[in-house]
Order: sequence, then C-alpha cells, then structure tokens
Amino acid sequence: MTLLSTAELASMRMEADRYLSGTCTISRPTAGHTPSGAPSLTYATLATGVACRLGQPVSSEPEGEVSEALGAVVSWPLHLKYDQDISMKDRVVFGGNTYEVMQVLDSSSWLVTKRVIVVRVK
Amino acid sequence: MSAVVTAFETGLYTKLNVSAITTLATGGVWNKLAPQGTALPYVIFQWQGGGDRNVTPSRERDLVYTVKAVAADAAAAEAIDAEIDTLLHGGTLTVSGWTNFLSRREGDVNYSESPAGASVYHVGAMYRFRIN
Repeated sequence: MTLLSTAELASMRMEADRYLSGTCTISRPTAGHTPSGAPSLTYATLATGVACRLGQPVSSEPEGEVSEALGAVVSWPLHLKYDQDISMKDRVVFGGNTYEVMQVLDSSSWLVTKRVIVVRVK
Repeated sequence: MSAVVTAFETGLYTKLNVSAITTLATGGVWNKLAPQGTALPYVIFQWQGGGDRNVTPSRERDLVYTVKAVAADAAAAEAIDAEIDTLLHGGTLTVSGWTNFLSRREGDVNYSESPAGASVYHVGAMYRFRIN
C-alpha cells in the first residue's frame, strides 16, 4: 500500500485545480516544408477554455544579444490540470499574449498539476 | 541576391526529397534545421560557404553546402550518406534561372554527439556546386 491512496490523490488534484485561476487556448503545430525545404509550422487549435495559471518568471537572463539586438529571454511556468494534453512547440494564448511551450516537465509520481515552461512569442 | 539562394536551395531540396532518401531518412529532408521533435533519421543541408566567382563577365556562383544524415546509429547514417552521394556527386540540380554545371563531393562530415544520453551520428559531406 502506498502512502497516498487513489482517492487521496484525486482529492489533491481537485484542490490543485482550484488554483488554476485563468483559462487559455492551446494550439498544436503541424510541421511542413517551404519549397526550399525549411520547416514551416501550421498551428491548429487543440483546446479552448483550458484551466491554467501562469506563474512567476523562472528565469530572466541579463540583457544580452538576441537576433543581433539587445534583448532578454524570460520564461514562465504554466500550470495545468495533471492530465492536460500539451506538448513541446504547442502555443498557448493566455491573457492576450501568445506563448510557446519550451519544455514539458516530466510527470512525477503523484502528479497533481502539470507544469510546462513557456516563453512569450507575441 | 536572396532569390538565387532560395532558387538554389529549392533545387537542392527537390533533388534530395526523393524516395531513395526518404525511405531511409524517414524523418525527412530539412533545410538548416529540423523541427523540434523530428524523429531520427533525417537529412539536413545547410549553406557552408561560397558566393560569386567574378571570373567571367557573366554571373557565376560557387557554393558549398553541408549535406548530412542525422541518425541514431552509424550504419543508418552511412546508408543515407551513400544515397546522398549517389544523387549529388556528379549529379545535376534544377535551379530556376540558373544552370548547374558542377556538383562534387569534397570534405567528409563524420561525428557523433550524445544529447540526453543517447548517441546521434552525423555522416555526410560538403558538396561544391557551381551555377551560372
């Protein structure tokens, strides 16, 4: 018998879901080619009204060179329901901004929320 | 000048994106960078150097491209490299507005890396092309 029962884990997940204060739209890319063979991504909506919460920035590099200009790359954790379908390169629209999923944090034991790392692209 | 770059790379992609390659390189053929998550093996080609020759009154370009297989095992990478060689060494590309009169294999590419613990093999070559 494990420390947490199935019912207890379900209860923890329900509690965690209460902290998902916003909603977002998730789009998933399909890779294609341009005529010269470069990648071309086309996004299609995967889910709307997805419960989520955007956390505080987890990394903020000092100002540096981005695309030959000064800039900074900042990433945020996005919290979702523990079983939400989301993958790397998916795009998320939240609060009028568009983010791209850079990493889906691996599922751990007794997962109560799913966390992905996103960067803002628009 | 960007138009000739696109025209040439379209010709190179068209030459490589054929069943002889894609039946082995099931992840496809990609210009410069494959999309994140593309399954191995695949082919990458990218500009390596070159430009105008300026040796005749007419425009002539000398271009070097790296064309390589990226695969999870060396044998698969070598098999794809062999198919690329068959197509490109002495082959002819169709480049809109230009004539390809030389295609030659030059320096080889052969190395491996170990991202996330598993080895990935890069096998191919730099190919020189001349168009006018």
